[in-house]
Amino acid sequence: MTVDDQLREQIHASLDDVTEPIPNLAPVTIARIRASKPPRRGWVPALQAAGVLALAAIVGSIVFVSHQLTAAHQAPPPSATVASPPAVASPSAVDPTRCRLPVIANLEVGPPNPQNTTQAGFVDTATGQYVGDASASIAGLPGGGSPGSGSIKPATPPMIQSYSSSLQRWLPVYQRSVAPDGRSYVWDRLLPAGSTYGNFQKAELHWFDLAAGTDHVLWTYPGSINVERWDGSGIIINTVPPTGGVQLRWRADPVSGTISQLPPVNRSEGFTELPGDRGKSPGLGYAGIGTDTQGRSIFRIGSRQAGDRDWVFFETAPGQRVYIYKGTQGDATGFDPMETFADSTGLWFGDYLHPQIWHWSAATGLRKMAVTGQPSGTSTTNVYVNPVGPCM
Amino acid sequence: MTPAAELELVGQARIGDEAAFEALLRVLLPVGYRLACGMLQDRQLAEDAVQEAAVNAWRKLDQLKTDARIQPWFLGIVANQCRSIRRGRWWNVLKTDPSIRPVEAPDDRVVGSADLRRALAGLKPDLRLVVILYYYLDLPLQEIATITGAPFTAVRGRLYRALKYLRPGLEVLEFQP
Repeated sequence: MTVDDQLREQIHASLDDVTEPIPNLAPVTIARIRASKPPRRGWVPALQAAGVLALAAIVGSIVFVSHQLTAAHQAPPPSATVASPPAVASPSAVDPTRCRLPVIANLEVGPPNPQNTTQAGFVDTATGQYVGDASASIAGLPGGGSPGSGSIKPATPPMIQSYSSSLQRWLPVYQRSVAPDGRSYVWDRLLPAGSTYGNFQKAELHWFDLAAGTDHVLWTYPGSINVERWDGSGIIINTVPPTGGVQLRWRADPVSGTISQLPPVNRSEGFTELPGDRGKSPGLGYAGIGTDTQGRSIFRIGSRQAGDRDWVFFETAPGQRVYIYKGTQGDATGFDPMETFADSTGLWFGDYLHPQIWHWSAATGLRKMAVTGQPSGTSTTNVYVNPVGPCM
Repeated sequence: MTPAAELELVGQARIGDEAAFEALLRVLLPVGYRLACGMLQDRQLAEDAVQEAAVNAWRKLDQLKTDARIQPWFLGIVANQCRSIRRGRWWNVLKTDPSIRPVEAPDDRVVGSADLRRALAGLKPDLRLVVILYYYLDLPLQEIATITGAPFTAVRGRLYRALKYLRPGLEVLEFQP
C-alpha cells in the first residue's frame, strides 16, 4: 500500500465517522424543491425531447467514442417492410390571427399558494382566450411515455404531446413523430417487452395508422431508436447501441419502406458560428428550440443573464441567417420563447415568463398574443402555453 | 448511471421533468452529502447544505452546459453552499469553539481519526475541498478541476500543499490524474 493509499484510507475512516450512515435526503430535498417557486423551464437546455434525445445520443457518441468501431459493426442491414401513404402536407390558408391553436397549457392558479396543473386545450388567437379540452384523451393509442432506466429513472406513462388537426385527435407522441398529413405516427418500444433503457436488447419502430387504427412494425434495431422528425423526405431517426456507442442516423422512406443510413451529424454543425456570437461569455450558449416546416433548426443563442444578447434564428445556408429576433435578454420586447412549433402559417412559440404566445412569419415578422384563461372556481390564473399542433 | 442515461435525465429535467430531476438527485445527494460532511464536519449543516444546493441546482439547471456531466457541476454548487455556511457561522465558531482552528502538524505516523478531522478542518477551504474530493470522494484530478473551476495544475498544487500541511515531511508522490 502506498503512502497515498494509506492517507486515503485514514481520511475515509475519519470522515466516515461523521458521515455514516448517509441519511436518505431525497424525500425532504424533493419536498423543499416543490415548496420553492417552480422555475420556468430554462431555454438554453430547452431542447424539446427530440433535441434532447438527439443531443444525448450525439454526446453519448462522443463519450463512448471508444466503442466506435464496435458500434459501426453493429449496424444491421435495414429490415423495413411497411410503407405508409405519402407524407406531404396540404395546408389550407389559415390566418394566424384568427385560428385555434392546440396547446399544452400550464395553469398557475393562485395566489395564495400557487398550484400548477397541465392540460390540453386550444387558444383562440383572435382573442387570446385559452379553453381546456375536457374530452382530451389518448386512450387506446399506442406509444408515448418512457420505459425509464430501471432504478435510475422511473418509467413515465404516456401523456398528450401533440395534436393531429386533420383527424382532430390528441396524440401521445411528439409532433416530430407525426406524419406531415397528421394521419399516422411512428412510435418505438424496447425489447424484450417490459425492459428499460438499463437492460433492453433492441427496439422496434412502429407505424400507427390513426385513420385506420392499425399498427405495424416498421423496423427492428439492436439499439435505441429515436425519431428526429418526419417530413417530406421521410422519417429521420437515430439509433444508439444499448451500451452506448456511436449514434447512427437513418432515413425511413414511408413510400418504399426502405431504410437507408445517413451521414453522421457533427454536433458542431448545428449552425455556423459567426463573430460576435459569444458575446462576453467565454463559451457559446445555445439551444435548438425546434424546426421549421422545412426541417431547418431554430436556434437561440445567448443566456438568461439580463443584458446579454438574445438571438433567435435559423440558417438558410451555412453562415446565412434569418433572424427571428435579435434583442437583449430582459429587454422591453419580452420575447422569451420555449419550444417552436411550425405550421403553414409560420412559427409559433410558447413563452417562459409570460402568459403569451408568439407568431413569426417572414411576411409579418414577430407578433405577440396575450393568453388568458380562467378555469371555473378559481380566482387568478396565469396560462403558460406551448403550441403542439397546427393552428386551425 | 451511464453518461447516456444521465444526459437523457438531465435533458428531461431541463424541460421541467421533476421526476427526471428526482432520479438524478437520488444519485447526487449521497455524494453531495459526503462532500458537505467532509467540508463542514457537521451532519445537520451538511444536510442543509446539500438540500439547499439541490434547490439551487434545480433553479439553475439552465446554466449547466448541454454536454457537461451533472455531478461535477452539482458538487461545485455543494462546495459553494458549504463556503456560505461556513462564512455564516464564522463568528459563532470564533466565539464558541476555540478548538476549531488551524492545528499544529499532527503526528505523521499515526493520525487519529479525530485529529485528522481537526487537521482537515484547519485547512484553508480551497485546500480542504481538493483533499475531500480527491481522498474521500476518490475523484480524479481532472474532475476536481472541473468542480473547483481551477486549472489542473492548480488543483495538483493545492493537493500538494494540503498534504504538506497535514503531514509535514511526507514525501508526496505524483497524484493520479
